[in-house]
Amino acid sequence: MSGLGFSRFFIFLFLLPFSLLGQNFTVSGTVKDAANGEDMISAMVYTADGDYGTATNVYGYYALELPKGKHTLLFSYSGFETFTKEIDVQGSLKLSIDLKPQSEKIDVVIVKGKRATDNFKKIDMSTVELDVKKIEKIPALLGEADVVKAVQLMPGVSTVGEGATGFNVRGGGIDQNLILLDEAPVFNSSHLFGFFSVFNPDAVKNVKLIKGGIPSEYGGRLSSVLDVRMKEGNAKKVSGQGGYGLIFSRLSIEAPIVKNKASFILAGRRSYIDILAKPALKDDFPDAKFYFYDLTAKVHYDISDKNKVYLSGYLGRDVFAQGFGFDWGNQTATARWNHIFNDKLFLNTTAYFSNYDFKIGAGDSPSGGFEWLGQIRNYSIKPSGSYFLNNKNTIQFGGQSILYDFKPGESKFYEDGEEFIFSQDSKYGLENAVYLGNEQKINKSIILKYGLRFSSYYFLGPSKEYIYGDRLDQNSSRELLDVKDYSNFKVIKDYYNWEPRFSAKFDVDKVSSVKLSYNRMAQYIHLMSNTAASTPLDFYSPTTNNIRPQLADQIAGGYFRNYGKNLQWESSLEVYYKDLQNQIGYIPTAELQLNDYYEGDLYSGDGRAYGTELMLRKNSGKLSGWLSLTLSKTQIKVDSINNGNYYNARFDKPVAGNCVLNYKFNKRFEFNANFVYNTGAPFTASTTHYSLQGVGVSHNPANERNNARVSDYHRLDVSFIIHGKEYFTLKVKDDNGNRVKQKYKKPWSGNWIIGAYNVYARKNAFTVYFSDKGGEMKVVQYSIIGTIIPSFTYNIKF
Amino acid sequence: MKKLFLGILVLFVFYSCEDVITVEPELGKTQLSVDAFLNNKNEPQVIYLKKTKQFFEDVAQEVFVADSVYVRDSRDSIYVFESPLNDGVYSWDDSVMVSEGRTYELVIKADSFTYTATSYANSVPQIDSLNWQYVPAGLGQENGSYAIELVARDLAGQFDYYWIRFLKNGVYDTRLAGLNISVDGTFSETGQGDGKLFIPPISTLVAYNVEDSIKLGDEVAYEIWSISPQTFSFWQEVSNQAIQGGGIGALFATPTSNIRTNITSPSNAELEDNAVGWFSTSVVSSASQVLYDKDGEKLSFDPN
Repeated sequence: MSGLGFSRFFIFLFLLPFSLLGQNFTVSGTVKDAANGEDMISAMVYTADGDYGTATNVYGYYALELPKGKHTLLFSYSGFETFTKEIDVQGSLKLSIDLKPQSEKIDVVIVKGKRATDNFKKIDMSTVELDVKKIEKIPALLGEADVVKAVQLMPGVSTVGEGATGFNVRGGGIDQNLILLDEAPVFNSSHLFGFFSVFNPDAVKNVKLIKGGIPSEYGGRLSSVLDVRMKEGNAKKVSGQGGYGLIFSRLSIEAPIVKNKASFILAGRRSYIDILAKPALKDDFPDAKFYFYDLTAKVHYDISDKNKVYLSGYLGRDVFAQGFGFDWGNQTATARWNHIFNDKLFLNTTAYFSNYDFKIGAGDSPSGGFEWLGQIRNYSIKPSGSYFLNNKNTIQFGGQSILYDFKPGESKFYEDGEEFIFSQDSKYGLENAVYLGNEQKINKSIILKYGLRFSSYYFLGPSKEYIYGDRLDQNSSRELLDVKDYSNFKVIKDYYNWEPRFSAKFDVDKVSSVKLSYNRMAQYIHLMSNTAASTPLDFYSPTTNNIRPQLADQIAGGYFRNYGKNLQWESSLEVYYKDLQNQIGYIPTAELQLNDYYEGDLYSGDGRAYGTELMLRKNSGKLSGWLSLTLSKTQIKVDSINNGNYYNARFDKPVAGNCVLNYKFNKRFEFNANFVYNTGAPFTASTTHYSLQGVGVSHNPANERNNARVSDYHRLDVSFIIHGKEYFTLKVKDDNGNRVKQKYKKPWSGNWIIGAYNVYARKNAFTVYFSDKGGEMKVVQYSIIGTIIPSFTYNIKF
Repeated sequence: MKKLFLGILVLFVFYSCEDVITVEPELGKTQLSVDAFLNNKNEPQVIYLKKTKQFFEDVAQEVFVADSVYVRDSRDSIYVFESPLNDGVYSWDDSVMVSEGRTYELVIKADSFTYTATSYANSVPQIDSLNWQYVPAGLGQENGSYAIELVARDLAGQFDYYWIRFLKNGVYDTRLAGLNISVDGTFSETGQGDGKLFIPPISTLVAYNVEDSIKLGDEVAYEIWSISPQTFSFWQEVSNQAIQGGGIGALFATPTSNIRTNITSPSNAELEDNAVGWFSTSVVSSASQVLYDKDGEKLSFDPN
């Protein structure tokens, strides 16, 4: 279907709902956590008969249109007591609710009425929401709860191996995930390469991973959206939490500024591996600095019922120094304004700034030395609205404009008072998008969600346009023919893309449904990385006259069913096929860093990924957790690599399974375990060998890429959580002067987490290489972690 | 850069491990390998012809016996390489062979096949002098050693490609870590180094990384070989493949790919009859020095 055909089709769909208007009134308001006043995301609001229902948006706001008359309205959220309210709708109604956290004693909650909270009831597919409380229980490396590590335990998500930055979703590269922290994109999600992620779990409220059926409000990356929302901060009382672990410590403070109206949260972490390692390193590293830190802060203010503002920021840095200095990190700042025009129209406007940069330096001028820095910055404004048209249609609309400022690399060498500058030109890009979507309930059992995003991209001056000819041979750089200079804001090259999105849900019976989705995504920035794992020096390139926007089309289908007395067992079986265009490959000698002509070193090609994902999950009760199995294939075809045929991507893992369990023995003891299995990652194996000028060369006469695999990966992690006593007793004199025991609630609560990562010390191979050192031919397997890693962490909340 | 990461991840090295594993040996087709790096030095010029070997076969490469091996230059001079012992070692020692500014064509005839390759001899700058400085023991250097710096100025105009070779007591450093290639005395085609002094670490890299230390009294030498852009890419590929080896560097290794060859195989040759290897002609400049105690001497770039 052509772009125009699509737009006509969508205009038709949008006009459709207006004919369905009836005599109804709107009930709207916000849902908050009674304990701390946090807005609740995706809390369910529905009538007891199950006929009408909706969910709160990311700001806790909901609007539900109900027919005139009496209704029983339920508000529910996992881990909270369901709130029931009898209402008589005789006109539009404001109803804001505080939900109370479930008391620990109730393990099984019986919910009245039909629940709209269930997995199979929602239109979303290929989507996982993770509660931070759940993430905190997953046994983690060195006992540190980690958002990205938890995401990696989901079906369809893989990684090259331990120590590899980022994650791969359904065959996508690590740069194809839109990682958002309060709507600002994070360009490098890792601390210490891939060992930890940049998100401080103490400051995170909600994590949502969307792998498919991506709604029209999201764009700019091909494969997934990881939407991380920060807490607003406790608006009721001063509270905080912290943790002391083997590798870093955490502390966060939340407090009301104006009670129930304004609050802040400030959360920080710093690692101290350098301090702990100091005695071991002694003389070898006299001034060694190895640490990372991050600070997360947010302020929110409810100006009125109709206006709320939020300011949030993140600052993180990894620092390594030893004679040289090397540091890198992300900074983000987001300002948001929610405005409720009326009970049907909700508008949020976000402005953000996001930056990633690295710096390396040694020595100084004039004694001799060098410095090298690289940076990507972007500035964006993003209005987004919801129009609750009626109880059958919720319209989403909005737009986004992003200005990118790329400084891929700038280096200076000093010698003999001479300064040599090796810089790549700065580059600029402007990405714009508008979108319109609708979620439409056709009837009780069918929901459709459809939308269209139109994105445009301009490669802007001041910059140069490099014009390349052919390659001398298939392994060479393209020949540079001409370089043209462009002045400020001159458009060097522009691209436009229609991105249709569609999802549908059909109920099969009272406990199961079938879902389908399609999405097209366009991506205008590209991570230049040709190494097994991404490094902090990898830079983002804009789309240029030589690098075309990456495109992906994904179709997915699934069967969703819940089981059990309370339908507490969720299951899903999904299949997907993804077609990727304009993927990037590299010539064998590609020089990506500090090279203005890197575009001539790129190949382009296609990718394809398909697979099936099975998931069984239980969210409540004494035993909770999930079991997942993924069967998949991810292949790339790039110019002359692998003789121009499809080959397995480095992160192709045909079989992957995860089992994550949490068992509550009682109020004080919990046991957690996770087991991970996947097929070994592919690598390129040589079969023959020869020497030239005394230098050994390994060779593969068939010229195949990724023709072998390392051994299978599997690992078991366990942890015990021991919660401290919540109460203490004191003997006090009662009114009659008798000494009696009195129970008091402690002003803080704490827990110990004792865990072990890689319990049976499996030496999982990161890679295998062929060595001819000293004339001895051998195959060496390298494991990043080849031992059991125990951990102890103490966490406190007050 | 990989070494930098190695330093950084030293703490995780604590958890990591390397194991030699056995894999089911997969057999590849063996091919002709040509090792022909000719120069203008007053010494016999040698071309080595061998068969590639199975990766895991613990034997030397078999020799390849050709019917004839010769080189023809752009002035139609023909240099016939002889192998009196039929051991795959073909040499020419009648006169100094390579001259700046000429194109050379290598021709190898074997059975019904003819393999050819061409190379152009570019010019090279002279080495002005060598400096040295004591480097105490430290990370990656168990014993104290000397860092040796070559002082040379790139030829002005056009991109110039160099292969910088280091010799200790007359022996080439053939370790992969010592593979040092350069454009205009810098890393790549930026034009920034044109006509300027070679920059560190290009000018100091080799000596600094020599595993066994350099002592006073050792004779050290640098040679600059002029090479073509294609030969530069060839060595780059060899160097990239070498980085694949070892330790935490594996995280940042580029994918293994076959090293290019400039040997043109006959179009009717089967895969196993296709040749691998390289033919290059260079003009070489050199400087050598026996190290003596120059107390307090500092390099322009502090190797510490």
